[in-house]
Amino acid sequence: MFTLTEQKIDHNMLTEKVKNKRSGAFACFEGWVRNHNHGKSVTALHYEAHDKLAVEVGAQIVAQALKNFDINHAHCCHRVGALAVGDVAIWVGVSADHRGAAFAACEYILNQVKAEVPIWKNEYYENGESGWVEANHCC
Amino acid sequence: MKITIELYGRLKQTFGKDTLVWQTEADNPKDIYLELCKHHQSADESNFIKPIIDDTFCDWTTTLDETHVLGFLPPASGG
Repeated sequence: MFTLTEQKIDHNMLTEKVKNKRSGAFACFEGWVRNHNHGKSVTALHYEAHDKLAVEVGAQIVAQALKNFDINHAHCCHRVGALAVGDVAIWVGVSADHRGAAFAACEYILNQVKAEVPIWKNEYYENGESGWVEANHCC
Repeated sequence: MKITIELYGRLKQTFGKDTLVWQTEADNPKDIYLELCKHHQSADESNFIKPIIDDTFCDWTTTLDETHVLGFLPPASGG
């Protein structure tokens, strides 16, 4: 499942969505808003999405992960709207029988969401400027 | 025809508005996009941009009419 939220991401609530008695492994990734990018001091972010297509594409990515990897449950939640430094921007959680598949599926979902889901990041800088961020596939 | 165009992400900055009504003789997303680029003296980035019609992904060559809402999505930069 893939969701968008304007509220602070609640990782405890999201973890419950993938928790199950079959799984012995849980892999989770949180993307946090950092206070710098390309040498500039970042004070805040604003994420904009095409809501309908973001949810559709995100759900397809999670569904593909469930087909491609030996996992039990997966969920990805992306924050939209105004975020402060330190806020969680994206949460990916995967449960599986064993850790290998959980780690691999978690990374797959994250990479695909960053590349394909129509969400865009606008950064606000300490000097008062702002700028749309280009796709970033750094590890 | 007059067609409504929705712009997302940095394309709002490139083309100056979130939404605009565009007068055109063109009838497909590619030609309309190129008209916008020419009008705003902006580089053609159609290799990276995805067109949508009525909130659904479409081909650049899909035939449009005035009832459609055309949109252009820049490359994703979430996460």
